[in-house]
Amino acid sequence: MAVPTLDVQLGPAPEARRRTRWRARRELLGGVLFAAIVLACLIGPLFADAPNTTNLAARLAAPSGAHWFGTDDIGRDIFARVLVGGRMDLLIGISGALVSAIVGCTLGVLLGAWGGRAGEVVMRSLDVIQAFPLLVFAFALLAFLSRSVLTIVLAVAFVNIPIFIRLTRTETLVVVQLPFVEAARCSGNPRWRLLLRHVLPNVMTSSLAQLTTTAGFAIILTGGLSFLGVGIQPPTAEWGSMVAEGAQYLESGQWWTAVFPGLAIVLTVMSIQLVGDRFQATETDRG
Amino acid sequence: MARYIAFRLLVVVPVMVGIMVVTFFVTHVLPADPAVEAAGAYPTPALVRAARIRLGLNHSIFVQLWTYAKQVVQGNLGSSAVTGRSVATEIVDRLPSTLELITLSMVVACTLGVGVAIIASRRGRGIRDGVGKVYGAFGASVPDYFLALLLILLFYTALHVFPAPLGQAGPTAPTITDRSGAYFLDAILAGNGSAVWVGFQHLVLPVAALGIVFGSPIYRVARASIESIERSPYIDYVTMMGGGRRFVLGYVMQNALPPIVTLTGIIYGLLLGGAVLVETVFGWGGVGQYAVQAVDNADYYAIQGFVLMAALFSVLVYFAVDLLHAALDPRVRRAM
Repeated sequence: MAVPTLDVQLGPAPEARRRTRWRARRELLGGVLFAAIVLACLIGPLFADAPNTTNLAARLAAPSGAHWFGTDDIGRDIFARVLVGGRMDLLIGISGALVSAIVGCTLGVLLGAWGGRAGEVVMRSLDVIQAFPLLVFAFALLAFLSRSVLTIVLAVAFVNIPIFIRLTRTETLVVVQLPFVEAARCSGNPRWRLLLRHVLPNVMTSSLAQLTTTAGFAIILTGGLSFLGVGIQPPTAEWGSMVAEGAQYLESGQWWTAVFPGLAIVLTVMSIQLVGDRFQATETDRG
Repeated sequence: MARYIAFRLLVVVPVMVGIMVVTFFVTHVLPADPAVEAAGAYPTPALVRAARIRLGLNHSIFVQLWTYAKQVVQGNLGSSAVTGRSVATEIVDRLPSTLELITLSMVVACTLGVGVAIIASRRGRGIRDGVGKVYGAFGASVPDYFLALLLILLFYTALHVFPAPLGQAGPTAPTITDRSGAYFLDAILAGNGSAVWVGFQHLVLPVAALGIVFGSPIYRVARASIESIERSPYIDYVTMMGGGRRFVLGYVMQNALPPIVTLTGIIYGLLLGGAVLVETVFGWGGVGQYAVQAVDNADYYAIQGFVLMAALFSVLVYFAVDLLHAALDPRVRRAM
């Protein structure tokens, strides 16, 4: 049993290599899947049926050659609605994650560099916000706001800001004390350039890894909000609300109404996460 | 240790005050008018004015905050603008159902997450590793409400193994004395065998949905933690001394547990409100659904009451986690 130890010291060759290959394959799979989903949602609707055309003669029709994913209770083609709905979910998920990352990283760097005691106070109030279930928080925000795509993006972004502030601030506290920052300061860089050009790029690694996690999570959150009825309003197609509309037909056996939009969420989030593992991996390799 | 516990308990007070003040302002800044909601189905201006005075909304916001704070200290969370009943009573009525659901779900999530992590992190890789990866990827990308629907489709619609998703016991369940409000627990307390069985059957699918979804972050953390500990020299030493797999695992888990416990606590704390979608799918009637209704009705006191209760719950859970952490890790104990 001493052999594995020896093996490790010579270099963890076979296991590590197998791991890298597997990781690369997963990333590739995730990337291809994600690209395919995005392309299908962008281009697909040009070729598929109109997503809001009702056809009362073909209500709740099972999947067939004419309707690949079947039709819903008023005869709308589910395949077409999944494609169009994807635009909405991808838009909200990705822009929500981006907005929260940009705002969160900016605040995190500022708090880390200038914070002092005020920073501590802000962090404690973030504790308070984070102690609160995100879904209910976003739900409460939307319940009182007008429910447009913009407010949903803002609500999704808002509840995800704290994690980025936390990640960036922690790293900023370390980085601002490193010699290269001091060197940059000594060569007369103004404060804003110091933070923007020298500190920010060096504190973003963990936030990049978090970005994909957040994007996937934001898509799940968007779906959940629609499922509760405060997200995208019908008849606009969106995966979460399609699952909610289809849920009532599950018990009578018309499974396709809810299953296909739900699977779309699962595949999209999974592909984003497979791609995100790359950032996660490089991060742990560095540390 | 005693000093540490006392200090942590003392911190709970300012945190709770902070949460109360923040929730109060956030709910009051929101543009809905609870007086209109409370004035009934046909709110005339006179009725709305009367409702505003009845709810105390005619005073300045700081006076309202002070009145509210005084009430809360006395354990009075105000009364719902819609039902007129005490918010504290309404929440306490619904709390046991949700606690029963999320506690069992957390037990399943932990068993599943840590179990899969132990199996998958075994040194020779292969099919076990694959199972772990697939579970990690699937659990992290499936929304809990969708998984709940899939389980209903499979086990109720197709196979008829479990009953319809109609609340905690369904309409034809044996009636039992209502002690806590959580059917399964009440059935056990009453010692009614058939009621226990009915309650159990209704619990399986929601608990499975939450357990599978929330077991996946636990799996990820557990696996990373186990694998990093397995690489440390002391484990090589234990292995060299001839310890079997199970013997070595005991040593690994001792040091791998703290991060797992922390994460489990965080998830448990969030689940109180976070289980709302699964509660909705199964018509569970717990606090999550209560909160959603309250938001829908712009019911100030009910929303504030829910937030306070959810926050208190997570603060207490974090507190318990810290104590557990100290019990597991002597370094934490000594650092206090």
